[in-house]
Amino acid sequence: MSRVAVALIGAASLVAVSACAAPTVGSRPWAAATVLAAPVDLPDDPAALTLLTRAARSALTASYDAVIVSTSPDSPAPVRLAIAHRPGIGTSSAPEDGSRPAQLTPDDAVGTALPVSLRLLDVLVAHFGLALAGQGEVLSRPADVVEATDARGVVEARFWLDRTSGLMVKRELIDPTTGATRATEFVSLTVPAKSEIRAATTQVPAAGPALDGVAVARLRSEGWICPEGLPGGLSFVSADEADSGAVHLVYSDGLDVVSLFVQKGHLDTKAMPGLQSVSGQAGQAGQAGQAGQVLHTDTPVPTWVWQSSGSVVTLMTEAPRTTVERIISAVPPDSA
Amino acid sequence: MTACLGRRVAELADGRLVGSELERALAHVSVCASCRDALEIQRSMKARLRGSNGPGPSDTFIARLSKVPDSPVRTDPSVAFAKSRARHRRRIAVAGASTMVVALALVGGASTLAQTATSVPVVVPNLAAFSAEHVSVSGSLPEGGSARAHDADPTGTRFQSAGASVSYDQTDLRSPEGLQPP
Repeated sequence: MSRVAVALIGAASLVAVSACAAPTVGSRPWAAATVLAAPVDLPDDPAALTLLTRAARSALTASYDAVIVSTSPDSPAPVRLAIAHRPGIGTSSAPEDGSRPAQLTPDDAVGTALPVSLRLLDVLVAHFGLALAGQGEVLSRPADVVEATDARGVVEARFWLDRTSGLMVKRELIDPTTGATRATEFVSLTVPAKSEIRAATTQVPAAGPALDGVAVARLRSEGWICPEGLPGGLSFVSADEADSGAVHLVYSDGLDVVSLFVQKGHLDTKAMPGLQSVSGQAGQAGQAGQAGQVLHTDTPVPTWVWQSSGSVVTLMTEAPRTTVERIISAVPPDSA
Repeated sequence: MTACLGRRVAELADGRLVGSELERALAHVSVCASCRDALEIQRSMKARLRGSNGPGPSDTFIARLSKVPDSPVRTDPSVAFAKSRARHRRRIAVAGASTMVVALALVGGASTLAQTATSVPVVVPNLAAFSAEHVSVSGSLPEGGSARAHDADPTGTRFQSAGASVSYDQTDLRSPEGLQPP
């Protein structure tokens, strides 16, 4: 199998990468996160797996136009997005009000806004117990409801799978710490007669060349921040070359996707005036420019930047703030 | 019938099952439609990945990263910072850059150049490029109204349809003729 394929198969690649790694705890506090991230093999309901597999396949093979609404405790108002999927092309998305142009996400992204991807399904199965919980209704249509349960038996996600199309038409992510719920739901769904994407669409640039397990292990042995896992059950999924000589590390638990960009050097905080300084914990205000501080912005995606052990770490994720705080604690900012 | 394969489907597709485990898996797949289905998906996905490979991991990229000084940030950050800032300013002056985008690009360039020197490089993360990369792997949808994620393709022309006014027969899925199960 090619190196890129190895990197992209997600959970399967974890074994190879872990086998190559020689983590050293102590001077590298992030290495300790490995222990926290080891997935527990939980039993899965075959019916749930069948439904989710079908949803993943439908997400790749079906053409559809939809409007989805996302709600989150971190967002002041629901977000409405018009999306369109075309097999072999990808998914275009744009605010329903047309406030910015549509952009295209390729089909082989780790995760998607709602239709579950095969890559994410792999990780999801590895981290949660999946069970058919009952029946529901979305868009006035019958749907099967699948629950994802963690090792403690706590439900962390619910998925509604449309019986007709097979698509995942609603998803609820429940923060096990706070109980806060983020939900994404189809509020309209149509199938087009023609295959073109509706409007002018900008392609999301593809990720850089993938780094295989050997490359990641080498970087890790040379002291680069490359955790094998992150708190909150986030497992390493893939790594690739990023802009400006950065290493892009991708983690997921099957529900959230976390990007960690690592660059060796000293953070020039003065060159980033648009970011707010927080005090090492997501959401807590601090004094700008001090060592040990974390810079933060919510646009275009929630981002945190800090200095840690001679490296500059940039974290991007839509995961709950409690998860962000735990990640920052695992890769701690240098103290003043 | 034995229990479904679950994530062992991926191992089967990868050819990582051997001996009796392989035989049991194949026997199960022969009688279980859902696992057969999952195996077919895994294989087609891997075939797609093989067929769409970009360049492999760059040896020069790893070698370049290996040359970045591993000195702790406290070694002499002020000197490194001052040197790099001076380089940064010179480059900006020469280029006559006035926009934030160009300035950020130059900072990125200065940072890359600094990595070849022996001092600790000064880093300004390129958040526009990083957010685009995050979106490309996560499939997340930027909600902040900023178009920074689109900067990597300023022409905005790729994947345009033949015409922006393409019309659709909007077959409502609530009708019996709606989207059929794939």
